[in-house]
Amino acid sequence: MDIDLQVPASNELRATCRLDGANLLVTLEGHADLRTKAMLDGVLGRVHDVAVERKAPEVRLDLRAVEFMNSSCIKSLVSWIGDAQDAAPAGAYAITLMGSSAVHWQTRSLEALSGLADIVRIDVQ
Amino acid sequence: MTPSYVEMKFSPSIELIDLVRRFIADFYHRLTADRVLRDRLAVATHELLENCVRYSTDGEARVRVEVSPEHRLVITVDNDAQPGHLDALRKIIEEMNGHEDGALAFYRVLMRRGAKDRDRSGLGLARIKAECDMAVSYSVTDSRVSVRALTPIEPRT
Amino acid sequence: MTMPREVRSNFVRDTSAQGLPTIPPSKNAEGFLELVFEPTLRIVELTRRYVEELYGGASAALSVTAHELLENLAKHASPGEARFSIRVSYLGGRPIIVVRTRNKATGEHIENLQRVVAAIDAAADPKQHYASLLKQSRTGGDLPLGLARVRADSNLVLSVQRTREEVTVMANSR
Repeated sequence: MDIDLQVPASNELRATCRLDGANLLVTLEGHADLRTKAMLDGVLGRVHDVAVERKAPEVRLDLRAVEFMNSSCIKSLVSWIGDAQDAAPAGAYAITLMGSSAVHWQTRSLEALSGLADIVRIDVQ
Repeated sequence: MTPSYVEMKFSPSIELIDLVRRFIADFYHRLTADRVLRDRLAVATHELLENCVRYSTDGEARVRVEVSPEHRLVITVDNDAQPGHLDALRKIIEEMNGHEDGALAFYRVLMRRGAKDRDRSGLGLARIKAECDMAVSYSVTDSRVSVRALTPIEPRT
Repeated sequence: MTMPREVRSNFVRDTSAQGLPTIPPSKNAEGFLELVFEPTLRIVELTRRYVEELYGGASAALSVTAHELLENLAKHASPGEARFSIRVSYLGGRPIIVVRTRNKATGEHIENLQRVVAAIDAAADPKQHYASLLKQSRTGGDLPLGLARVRADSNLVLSVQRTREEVTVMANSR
């Protein structure tokens, strides 16, 4: 089932969200930089709200099709991880960040994010 | 002929970040066959350009990429900056370069420190050091700041 | 620490029949781009492509001007540093455009350029002058079509300046 992310569409960054059993699968595609940071913040905020509301055990964020992400958008992920931590225990959910070893920024940035919190796992293929 | 430098001056705007970055990415492609290095340089260039556009006062920004005869590649971005920003820049670079536990640890320290502040990132320079493995330094002349990122390179022959 | 300033768009959208940028809604919409490089064909081609991307949709005439000046640079520049710049500003609501190349060149090439630009400048009708050159080019020969095209299509005035071994070619609004 698709979840409506309720954010304006962008040519630079596209986002979809669907239920995968009890979990949420969020897929991003395109470029995450100054032009699209506000959109990304909107997506992550909405995902957080849905995850807490539905008591989803896990949110998987698929970044493999994001060609580039700037540090402001990495910061958006950091803030989202913080929100997820704060939602515990009532709205607790784990986060898996999915990346591709073929995309340099993903291998390095996801490695940096993985050490931030126990609820974060990375899955780089 | 393998190029050894390119320089761009531009009025700092969001629209130009992507264009300038891609132009310089093409330059990197001419410079080196090392794809991982090119990706590192592209990330570093983008972060420097975004900082430049966000923190410069109106005026002229400049980015220069140069390879020295000693095979060191230096990306230099300079612009006029607000006094408050110059002070913040000095503090972050001094803290980053003095951090005993290394670049990745400092990067995570900054992530945790700024997690609740949704308006500011402050991660760009730390990212250049931790993810792009480049040395970061700066200099100031009057109100004009130059930020440099440096790495060894084996240019194409 | 002060917050970063609001970043405004500095580039304009063109709606004029002449193909020159017109006044956008925001009052402060000036911009410039300058490149310094070694004049290899590749870098010149890259520059041309990016200028076209930046301006092509908005102003075909500006893109043509950049293309022709850069192509001349690629063909005739001597080794050494080359510069290319575009600057758009506004005076009393009127766009002021300056496109410029500067590079090392032989004395012979610089003198040739000066002759070409003088002939373009002297022509009573730039479009007619360009059409005439096009016609002549069918019988062969290396004719200065590019600069004549700039004058005919973009209505920008051309000038050539020599400084020792360097030549600056400029196309600018009247």
